[in-house]
Amino acid sequence: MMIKLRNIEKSIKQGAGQLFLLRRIDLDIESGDFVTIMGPSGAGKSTLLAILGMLDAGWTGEYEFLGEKVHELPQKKRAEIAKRNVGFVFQQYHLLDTLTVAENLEVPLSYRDMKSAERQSLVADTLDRFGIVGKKDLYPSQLSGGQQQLVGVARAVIASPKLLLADEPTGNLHSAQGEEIMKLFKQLNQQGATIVQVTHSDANAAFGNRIVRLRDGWIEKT
Amino acid sequence: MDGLRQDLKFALRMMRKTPSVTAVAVLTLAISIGATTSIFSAVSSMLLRPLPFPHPDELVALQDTEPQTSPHGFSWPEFTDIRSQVPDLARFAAYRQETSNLTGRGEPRVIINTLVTEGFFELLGVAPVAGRFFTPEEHVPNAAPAVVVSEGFWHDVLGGVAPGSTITLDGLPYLLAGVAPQPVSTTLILSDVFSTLERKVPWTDRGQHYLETVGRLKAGVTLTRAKADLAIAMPRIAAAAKANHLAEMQYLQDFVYGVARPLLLLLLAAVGLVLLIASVNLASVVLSRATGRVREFAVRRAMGASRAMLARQLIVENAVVGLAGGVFGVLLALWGRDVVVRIWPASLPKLYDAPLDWRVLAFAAVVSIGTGIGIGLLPALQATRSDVHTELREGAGASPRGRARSVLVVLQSALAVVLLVSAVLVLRSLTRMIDRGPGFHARSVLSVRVPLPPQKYAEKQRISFFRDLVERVSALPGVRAAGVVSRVPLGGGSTDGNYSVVGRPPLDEEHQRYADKRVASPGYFAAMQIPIVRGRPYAEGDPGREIVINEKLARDEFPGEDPIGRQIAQGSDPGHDEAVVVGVAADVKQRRLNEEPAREIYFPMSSWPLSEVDLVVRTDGDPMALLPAVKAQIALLDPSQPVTKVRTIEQVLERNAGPQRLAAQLLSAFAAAALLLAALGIYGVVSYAVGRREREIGVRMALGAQASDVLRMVLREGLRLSLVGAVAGIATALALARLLAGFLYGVSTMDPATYVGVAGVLLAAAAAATFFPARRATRVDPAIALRAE
Repeated sequence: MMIKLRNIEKSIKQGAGQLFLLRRIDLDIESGDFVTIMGPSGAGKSTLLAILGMLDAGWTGEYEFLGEKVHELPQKKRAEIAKRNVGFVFQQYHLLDTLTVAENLEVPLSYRDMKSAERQSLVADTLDRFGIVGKKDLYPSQLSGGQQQLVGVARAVIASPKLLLADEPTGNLHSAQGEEIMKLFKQLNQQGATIVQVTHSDANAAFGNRIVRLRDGWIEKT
Repeated sequence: MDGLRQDLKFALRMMRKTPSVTAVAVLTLAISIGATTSIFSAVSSMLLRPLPFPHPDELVALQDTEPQTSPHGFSWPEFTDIRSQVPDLARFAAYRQETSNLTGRGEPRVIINTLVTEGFFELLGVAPVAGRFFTPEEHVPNAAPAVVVSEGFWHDVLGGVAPGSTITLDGLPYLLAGVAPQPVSTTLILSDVFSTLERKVPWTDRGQHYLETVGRLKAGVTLTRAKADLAIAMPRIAAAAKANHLAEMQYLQDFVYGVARPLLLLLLAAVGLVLLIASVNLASVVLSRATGRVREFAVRRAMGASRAMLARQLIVENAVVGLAGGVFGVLLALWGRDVVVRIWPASLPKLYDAPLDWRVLAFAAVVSIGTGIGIGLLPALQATRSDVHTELREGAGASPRGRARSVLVVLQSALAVVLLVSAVLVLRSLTRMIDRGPGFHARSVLSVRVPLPPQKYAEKQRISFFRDLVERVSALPGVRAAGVVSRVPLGGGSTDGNYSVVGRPPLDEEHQRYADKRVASPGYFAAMQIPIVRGRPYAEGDPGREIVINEKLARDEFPGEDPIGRQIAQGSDPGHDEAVVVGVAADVKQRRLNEEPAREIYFPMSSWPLSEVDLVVRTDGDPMALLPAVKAQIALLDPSQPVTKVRTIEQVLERNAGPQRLAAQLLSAFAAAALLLAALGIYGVVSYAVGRREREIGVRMALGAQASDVLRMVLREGLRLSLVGAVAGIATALALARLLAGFLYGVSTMDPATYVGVAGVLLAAAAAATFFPARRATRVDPAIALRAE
């Protein structure tokens, strides 16, 4: 078991009371799963993704990740686990505008204890693997949306994460580009990566093997 | 290390990506660091750089601390007592500056001749540049006259003539023994030549305090211990001499440059405040940029960057900007320190140079990097505190940084108020000093010092020379009045002495009364336009039995009485050397413009035959135009008689106001810069707020708000910040203003008009800075604003 969530709740203060974003979430994810989280806007999809990726600390309940009891760990330790195991793909790509494609790929590596030569070689491999060697010196503004997301995915997987989290990864792409990205995810999943994606698209959901539906913070059906 | 290199690389790229912001930041820092470094170079030169003598920490100066007077020199008996009885001094020497007439080398000229006691040069640890210093045989009464000349004088005046030759001083041949190296005659004493003091001994009068002293502590003795030992030894020495004089000891460096310390520290503090305001301004800019980079920081966090890594990146980015500002600042300081040397007040110890040595460069480096890190710190803290999840969801610019920017604007305004208050207080003091005046009319008066060598002129001859001179000069066309005086007021030199009123009991040492004593011819009062408010001046031919006192002395000694006809004796014994008061002159500031007039007694020339006087000549036009005619009259009396200290009384006045004027000018410039920076800061923060609130403003207008309502709302925001800043600034200025007290005259450090006026100026500047963004806000199109969502 890679992920085990029990009774996860997340709320924020609103006026005198609390507004619950997630209620009593129980969820298990096995290694090699390709899980799709779906639901209407405001259902808590991205919040759940942020908790899975350990970007969000303000929740209650139990969260086990690869046997580690995340809920018992301090934030620093959680960040360490996330850095080692989790990669992110964002809807708005979130590439750094002032860095070239190659430099954007290097960003996650630069935060890990890795020598420069090693980083360069990994960047070169990844550029090759994703077929973007010709774009390595271009800046994000010089790429199409699809190309930017391709770089975004490449950046997410460059440090070989065990878990890939994707928040509406094709939301800003037209359908052909979106399909290419989804095929890429499928391929990564077949190579062993565990993937959790948030999407509104049934077509995208079809690439996964499980769907989790959220509504008003509650899981509808597993 | 690798991470740091990455951060550096990224920092340089960020600088290239935003060239205009980078250029403004670097330029702002360069100017403020340049100004700070320039002032610091003067501070370093005078207060930090050790004196250029071996073991400078062993060199001390001692001064007599007589009750009721400020510290001054020693008499010869006091000097010899200390030399023989104070345990911690390895060597102790005295010196006294006089002037001598140099003849036989072209036109006669007056030079500075410093008389030194035995061991003076050896104490300083210097070696002669050529020849030798004095032998013990030359340090005895009536020894064969010999001089050691300063290096500059040797080259410039004597043309590097070989030691062993002779020069003529005051009509006497002096053996040129040797040449003293530069620092003795530039750092310690401004002197052309040195001769031996003991030749003129016996100087047995204990009341004549004309010897400055310098000592070298025994190796291993600290100043604290030496002071403690001196405090024990002095009462014993004083008791043996039936006197109550004590002595104080300080480092020679403090003695030489201590008087410049308040001005230097004031200027350094003021320029430091400007740097601080500039840094706060830049921190505000960096904060805005960080707001635009929220998404970048969030992505980096999501990619695994720790808070520390992000903070380091921001700090490195700004440290690089700081360093770049520092490099350009040091280049500017190369020019700036020359300006400081040029405008340095002549009435303070001379600032020869202000080298950018390792101290100054280290200061510039620390200030630059510190400033860079400082301006990056707040954004770094903010960036690392932000919530990654929210930032990634909501994108750039969503997170409000308004409060931090507002705090920075309040800080800037407060600092600007502190500087403005200081500048206005010093400026008002300067105006008061000049308005209230020194007690005489300085315009159109020429002053020339005429030193008559006692070897050539006996007492009576000197008196008759000066009388003839006044008579001749008074008769010159264009001259309204002329007179002589022992020292023109505000021209330096102290002529303090004690006195007692005849008919009153003798005063013991602790209750002595002191007055400034000046010898003046009757024409002096007319030449300086010092009114005789009661009685008359003494007569020209008076044999010394008549005196004129000033109003202050009349008030202090004869309150409600008529002082005319009362008798005053010189010294503490009322039965000794008495003279009758014939007139009361208006008060004159004799020492400093920013001190109230002291008690004063004027004596006729016959009572105190001087060897040198200042001749003062009032004319209707340009006083300097009279100089050739005045010199011609002197030459008619004695062709070999030179003159010295040629200046107008206005120049004397100006020189005396020099430190206050420099402080006023620089503080005003710094305060203006601070006000401008504060106004820019307010403009920036309000502009930013308007940009962020466009939608809100649009909604308000859609709901019926008029342009005037929006204008008022935005103006209120800008003024609210500056009002808080003004209040904080006034509180800080009130707490700090007492540090300015030494520069103030006639203005209280709590002067309410200054504080209210400065607050008004700041609010006006804030209103102007707020007006433009406020007007922009009134032009927001409600429809566009709503679509911006």
